Amino acid sequence: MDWLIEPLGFGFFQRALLAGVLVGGLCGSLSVFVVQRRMSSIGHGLAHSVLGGVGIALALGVHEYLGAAAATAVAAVLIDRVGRRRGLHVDAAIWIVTTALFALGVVVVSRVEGVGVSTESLLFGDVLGVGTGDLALIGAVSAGFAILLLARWKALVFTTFDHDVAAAMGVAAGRHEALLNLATAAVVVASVRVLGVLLIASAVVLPAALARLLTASFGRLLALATVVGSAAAVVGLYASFHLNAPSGSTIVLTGTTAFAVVLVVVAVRTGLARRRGIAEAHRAP
Amino acid sequence: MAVDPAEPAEPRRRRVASGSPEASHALPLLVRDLSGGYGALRALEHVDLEVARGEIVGVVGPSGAGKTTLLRLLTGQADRHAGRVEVAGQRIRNRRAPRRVGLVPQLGSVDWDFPLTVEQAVLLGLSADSGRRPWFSRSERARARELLDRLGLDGLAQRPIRALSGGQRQRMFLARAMIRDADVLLLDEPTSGVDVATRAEVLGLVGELAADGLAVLITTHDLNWVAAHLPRLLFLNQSVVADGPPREVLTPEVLRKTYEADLTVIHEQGRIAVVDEQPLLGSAATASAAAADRAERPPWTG
Repeated sequence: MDWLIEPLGFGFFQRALLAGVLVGGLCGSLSVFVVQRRMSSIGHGLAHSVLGGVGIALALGVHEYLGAAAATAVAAVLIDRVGRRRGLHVDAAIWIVTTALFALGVVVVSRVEGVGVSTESLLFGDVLGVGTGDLALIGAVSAGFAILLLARWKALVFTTFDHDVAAAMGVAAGRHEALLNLATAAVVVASVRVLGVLLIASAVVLPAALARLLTASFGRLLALATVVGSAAAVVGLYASFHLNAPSGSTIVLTGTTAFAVVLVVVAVRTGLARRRGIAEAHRAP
Repeated sequence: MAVDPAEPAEPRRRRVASGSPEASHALPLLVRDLSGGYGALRALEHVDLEVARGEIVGVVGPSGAGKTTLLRLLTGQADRHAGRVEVAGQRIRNRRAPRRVGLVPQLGSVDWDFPLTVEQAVLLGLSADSGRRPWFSRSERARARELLDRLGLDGLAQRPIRALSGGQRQRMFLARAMIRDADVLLLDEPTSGVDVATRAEVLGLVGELAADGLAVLITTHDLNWVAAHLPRLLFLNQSVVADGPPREVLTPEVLRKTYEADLTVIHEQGRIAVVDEQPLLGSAATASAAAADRAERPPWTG
């Protein structure tokens, strides 16, 4: 049991565990909406754009979270504008805008001296360096998202299921879609420290994809994806501590392994059930 | 229940609309000089339309004629440039979804893998009116069950929506449209992508709902289907070309104005069919259209 208890003796690991559980659950619950709205690319893209914002914030000497938030807002507006051009689609707009911001971030971070932030920690996460300010931001975004889900659950589900009919039946679908986009941007910014810009995309897709293999109810999907996200963070953090590997990577690999195992188990069960069905059909008179 | 296509179904029960006593006697749907579209783009103009309780109106026209825009204007999803819309006597503001209008979307526009049960999908129709709590009340769930029973989906409430057949999916959406006590039902292309049996099933059901006092508007590309089964047709091509019983409005001239093509109208044994007289198809096309029409006639049309 030492491997379980020993890391808890370190203050940085306790903070990392708290941040990991919150960010994992936050990304897991958001992933349900990201996956069902078929917007996996936007999570990936917004995470990339964060690097540009952080780079510019460091160069200007303002707080990196301010830069990250501004970059996601600029990216969202530019994606909307570019995506509306005739002949272009939103997926093309996402990659044009966000990779440009990502490249800008890489250049600026590598050129600005003495900023105290490494490109590696921005790309792959540095959960062991989480401070009180980071925890406060993660806590605030988690609380805000939880309140949004509790207060607007039915409208959010209806908008996600069928935007046009929801609007025709009195739901402010446009407003709820905007709230989900805003929440996506906030979750991405709050998760950067823990997961890194390259790995957030997995955290906002994988938990829902795994949970979807196990349930056909939207409510249970949300609960399961939240638990999967947090559990992957806990297991991934212990793996990171003991293997001395980047935390973002071990969290994502834990989630991916769980997904692969569930996928195989479900496929085997479905195959066995199909065989049983065929055998019973043959036995029937 | 038999419904003569030439006569509007007589309502069995008058539904009492909310609000003033006059509201219950007001037309479920009244449209006056309605023009609108998307932003500055005008897709439809000068539409006048009245639909009484128990009436079923088939809205036909070519692609881009404004059929979907009409539904979007009636549900507050397009920009009204001029005119007015009243639902059960209540004037509807521009870009506002009317309280007592239910929309049944095209089946093909829906993600059937979405993780919802049948009951949950029906209850979503109450999202705008239900309280802020994240669950539906016992009475709301009872109302959903009552509608599912009425529409023949009892026993399927806890099934995932993807497990339903085409006809059951239409029934589920009818239940969702009706759960807000709708006075008006709008069906967007209910015949699109469904088999002949499902079409007959849906039309039979819509006939029953109309007989209970609902006003129904059905958009479709399937001219022969509505001509054979509905008592009233509205021809659209950016504006109303004709409005009335099939026998009166289904003429070569109306078809030319609507579709900008020369189509032939055939009257045979009291039934009407429209055929595109292509030189190579000739009389074979005529015969097959009439045969298809007879095959698709649902039981309740007699």
